[in-house]
This record gives sequence, structure tokens and C-alpha cells, in this order.
Amino acid sequence: MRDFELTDQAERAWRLADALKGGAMVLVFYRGDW
Amino acid sequence: MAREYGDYLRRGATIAAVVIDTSEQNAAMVEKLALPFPILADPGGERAIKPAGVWDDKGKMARPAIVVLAPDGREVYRYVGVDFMDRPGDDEVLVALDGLEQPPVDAPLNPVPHRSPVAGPRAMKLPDLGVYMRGVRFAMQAMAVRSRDAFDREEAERTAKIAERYLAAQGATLRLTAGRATSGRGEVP
Repeated sequence: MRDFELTDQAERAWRLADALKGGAMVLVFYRGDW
Repeated sequence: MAREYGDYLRRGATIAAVVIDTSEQNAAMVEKLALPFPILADPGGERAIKPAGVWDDKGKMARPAIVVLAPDGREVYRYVGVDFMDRPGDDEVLVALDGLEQPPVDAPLNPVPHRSPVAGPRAMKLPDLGVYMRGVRFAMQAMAVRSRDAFDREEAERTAKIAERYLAAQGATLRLTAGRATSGRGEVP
């Protein structure tokens, strides 16, 4: 999966490549817009 | 998944959710469900959802999916659900993580303090989710009995089990957020 950067619920930047430096990642995609 | 977060950390993994909602909406969701991991905003799905191949073009939102990545970025597990309820159990994902043999991650289990949110007009309150999911379970159990087609019967039985998992998670979340037993409308696993 290619790298991406998004913002979390506190508007902080979150980058996949940085997260992977800390170990494995479980990405959960869900529909939202409830 | 949120309630089993410690099992993920012990296997060297953290979790992040990705959704089309805004950060403000996600903040409300994190508080409501006392999530120990972040929810990332990807409105339009261009940055992560579409590149991951889990975009629902008809619904203009992410398909329900779980992707496990090794620290080197290698994808080791993928589950894409057929609808919003369709998710694998934790066990299946944890088995995929076991195969990576990673050292535990030192991360807080509950980094976000829980505050009771103010429900918006569209919000379904968490206790009500139990009523809803019990209805789903009963309906699917009835469909399984009445179905003459093996595939339909298996799908109905599978969906009933998914509803049971939602009910168990709802009960656990109610206990966590309220600090007390469920009020009789949720189910305690």
C-alpha cells in the first residue's frame, strides 16, 4: 500500500510510513457518514 | 476491536481507522466509543481509501475493510466486507499478526479520556444499538430457518453471528464508558 498522510480526530497529521516505524499496522476502513 | 486493543499491542501492532468523515465528526466518535486508536479523515477518499482499493463508488464511501501491514509495508492480510456489518472477528486478524512475530508495542490502552458527547439529531445512542442489533440477529435467524437456498442460509447465519459480535462489543463499551453494568438494553458477553 502506498504511503499517505491524513489528519486524526484532533487535526494532527498522521503518516502511514511514520506509524509503520513503530511496528505493524491494522488499518480499519469503515463507511462513516452515519 | 477497540476492546481487544491490548491483544493487538502485545502482537506488535497498532490500529488506525480511516473514514470519509471530518476530524470533528471523528473526534465525537472517538469520545463516544472511547476508542484507544485514532480515526483518520479522508473526505473524498483520494488519499487512502481509493488507493487502498476499498472505495465504494456507488455509496461514495469506504467499503468496510481491514488491512494488516507488516512494518516494512507488506500487506499480510485483507478482508473486504460485503456491507457495513460484515467484518472479521478479532481472532482472524490476530492470527495474521501472530505470523509477523513482532515485539509488543508500548502504547497507552486508553489515550483519549472519555467524555459523554452531546448527541446530534441523527445519532443513534449506544444503548439503542443493542435493540437494533438484536432485531438484526432475530431477523437473520428467522431468515436462516426459512431460506431454501444454501448460500442465503449461510449468509443469514453469518450475519446473525456478526450481530452477536456487535452486541458483545456494545456491552463491553457500555461497561467501559459508563463504568457500570449495562442498563438492561445492551448485552454483556
